[in-house]
Amino acid sequence: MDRISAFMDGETRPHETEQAILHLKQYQEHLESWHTFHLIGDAMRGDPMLRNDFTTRVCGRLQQEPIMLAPRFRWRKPLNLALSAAASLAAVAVILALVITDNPLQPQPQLAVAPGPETIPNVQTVALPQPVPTANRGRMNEYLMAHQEFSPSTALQGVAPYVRTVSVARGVDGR
Amino acid sequence: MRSAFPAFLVLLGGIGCAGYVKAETGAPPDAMAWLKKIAAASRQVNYAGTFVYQHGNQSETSRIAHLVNAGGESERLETLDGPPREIIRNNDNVTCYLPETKTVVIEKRVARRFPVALPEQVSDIADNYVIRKGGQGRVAGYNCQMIVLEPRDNLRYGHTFCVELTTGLPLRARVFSDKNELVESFAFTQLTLGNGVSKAMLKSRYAAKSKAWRVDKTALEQAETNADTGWVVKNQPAGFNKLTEMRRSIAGRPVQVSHIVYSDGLAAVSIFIEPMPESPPPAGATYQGAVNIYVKTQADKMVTVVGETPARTVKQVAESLSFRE
Repeated sequence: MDRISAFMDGETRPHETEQAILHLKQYQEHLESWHTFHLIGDAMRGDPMLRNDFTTRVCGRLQQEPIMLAPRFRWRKPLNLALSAAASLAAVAVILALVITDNPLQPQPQLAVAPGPETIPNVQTVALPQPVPTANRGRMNEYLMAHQEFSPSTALQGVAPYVRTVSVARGVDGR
Repeated sequence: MRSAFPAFLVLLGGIGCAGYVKAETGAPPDAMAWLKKIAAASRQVNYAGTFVYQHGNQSETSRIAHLVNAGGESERLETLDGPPREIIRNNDNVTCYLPETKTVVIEKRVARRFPVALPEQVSDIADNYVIRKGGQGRVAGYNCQMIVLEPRDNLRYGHTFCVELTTGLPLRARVFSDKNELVESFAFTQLTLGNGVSKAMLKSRYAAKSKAWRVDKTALEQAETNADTGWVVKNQPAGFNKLTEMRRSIAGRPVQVSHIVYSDGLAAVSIFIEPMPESPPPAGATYQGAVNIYVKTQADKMVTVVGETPARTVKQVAESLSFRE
């Protein structure tokens, strides 16, 4: 069990990892623990919960996908490869969108591809809020309010214009 | 594999969108009806409750009460954590109590709503978002209907609303980036609807105590005139149309400011152009929840672009702004 936990945390060496995978394949009850650990992890992180039968459904769909039997030495256009890979991913994405009832906009949070350092940095982290002098904070507040009077999405949310600016003002006091 | 993954996603998005746009140029009438219901509910429904506003790693809890009667619309908003603040709104008159600094700020907010019922706005939203009904959810003890607005490109955010079934009040509103990260969310944690809302819930906690407080009325004398400001956006973001253009006064500014608003039917981007202040704020990108801000200097002017859109959209607007000769 400790090995499973270590494997989950990415703390095993390559050969230990291999052993852990073989072990999980062999022992159904440990495989269930593995799923439970992930479920607990998801719950603690507040990730969207998947239905119990998620794995079964994805595996079922994957089995229905045509298996590509490419002749070993035949050269294949890279574009075709990319497209077929995308088509399979699209199938998974559709399933995920159906499964995650709470957030249909979120296509693949559970594909377990940890964003590596080489992935595109996200816009919000690049645009870190810069410390703005307090005198100018008030100035920005006025612009926020003036802007939000015209924003249809703000009108939809009803209370938003005050909330956002109250929040900005609080930033000044809090820092 | 890792580095190839984002490329697949881009491809995937492209393929998915191309098929989708063709399949439904008009939103399903049912989802559209819900959207109209939401737009009306925020103003017409009586409600009182506690809600959480989350953005980034921060969350703030506030209490709100909203009542519509013969006298019009009144609203009371009170922060429950951090420095106390209370905002009382009676129709267009807004009073903000800041007990820590013993200050009362009095303002006038012209009700400039853009009802979703307007046909041109409906078609704008449907041009830029795929609108659909999701499943049912439950928020603050009420059953609600999920309405999803999925952006057709990466110049705008995705939105989901969970809408109370009978009144149409949005119980939870979430904004997602194109990477499907939660940008901000509003969600009620406790709510009373309809007759349970009493006048007492709208009574100010500070009105009586604040007699001796400093009163700030600088925001009260606001003037605005629709005008051609002479500024144009050369590289207008796709799907955004000009909503209004004016010269207006803004509290704290010695002279009038040019204000131009663009909208895609749901999100708006504002451009403010003012003479260079003595101590200009640092140029560059900042954000507040779903609102991205881009500040830059242009000749002897300071330009501030504000929009509840991704940073790239406000930047595109700011960078392509020029003065028509």
